[in-house]
Amino acid sequence: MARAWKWVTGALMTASILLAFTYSPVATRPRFEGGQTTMVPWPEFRIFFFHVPSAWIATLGFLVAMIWSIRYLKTRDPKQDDVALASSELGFVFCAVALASGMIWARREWGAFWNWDPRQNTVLILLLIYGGYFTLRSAIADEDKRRRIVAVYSIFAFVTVPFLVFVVPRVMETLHPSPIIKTDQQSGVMNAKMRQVFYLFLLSYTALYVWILNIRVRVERLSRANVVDLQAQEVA
Amino acid sequence: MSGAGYVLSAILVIWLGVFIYLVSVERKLNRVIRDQAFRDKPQAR
Repeated sequence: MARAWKWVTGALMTASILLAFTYSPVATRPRFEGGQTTMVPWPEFRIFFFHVPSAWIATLGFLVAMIWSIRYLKTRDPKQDDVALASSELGFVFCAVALASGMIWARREWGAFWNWDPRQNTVLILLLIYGGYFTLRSAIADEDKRRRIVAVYSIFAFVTVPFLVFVVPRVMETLHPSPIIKTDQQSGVMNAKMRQVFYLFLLSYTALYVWILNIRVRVERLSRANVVDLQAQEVA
Repeated sequence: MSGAGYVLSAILVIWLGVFIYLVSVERKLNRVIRDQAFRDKPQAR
């Protein structure tokens, strides 16, 4: 299964990318001109297929990091901390991808890469919070103490995620186009084909996350085993 | 080729690069783990 996973992920992601440009129709949006409303093509919409799954994986990554941090605090098993670290890193990378893709879209739609929009601000704050996680990891020399402290930090860091990702942007006025993910005919611009491609992207990104997480955890365990090996040789 | 065609090509090339990199990292990791297992337990060979 582990061997097949990479090929399944590769096939899923390649199919998703191809379908986003071939199977999914180009979205349209209204344009007001001369007192009349006409529907015009909106090819920039496609960035949604990459942007939203990135944000989903960022949230999933931070959630997994929190759960494995709790497991570490319960068991004090470094293997649990390896998963928390790997998942935090992945969450951070995908959060940065979501921010970058959002900025590219903002440049096309709002005229500037950065607009101090609540969505942009909260995602940036989230990146800084998890940047603090890695800084904290590198600042403590004692391994047990480091794992314990960053596990507690990870739990508190995740508490901010629902507020920063879901609550604040909905409470404050934002330009972020949230209605496009609604699926009813009245408010949504996504039709059935777009939704199918979107769900395929969510699946592909999740498979990619699982694959990279597996590699990163094994690398971390290998490097820790080698450090322990070297320390034992030094003592001997 | 249209604008969408260029964007599709660029995204596919980036994805292919990421995929090949990940596959090579995984292969190297498997090799290192296997070599280490043989080193620790030579009789396993």
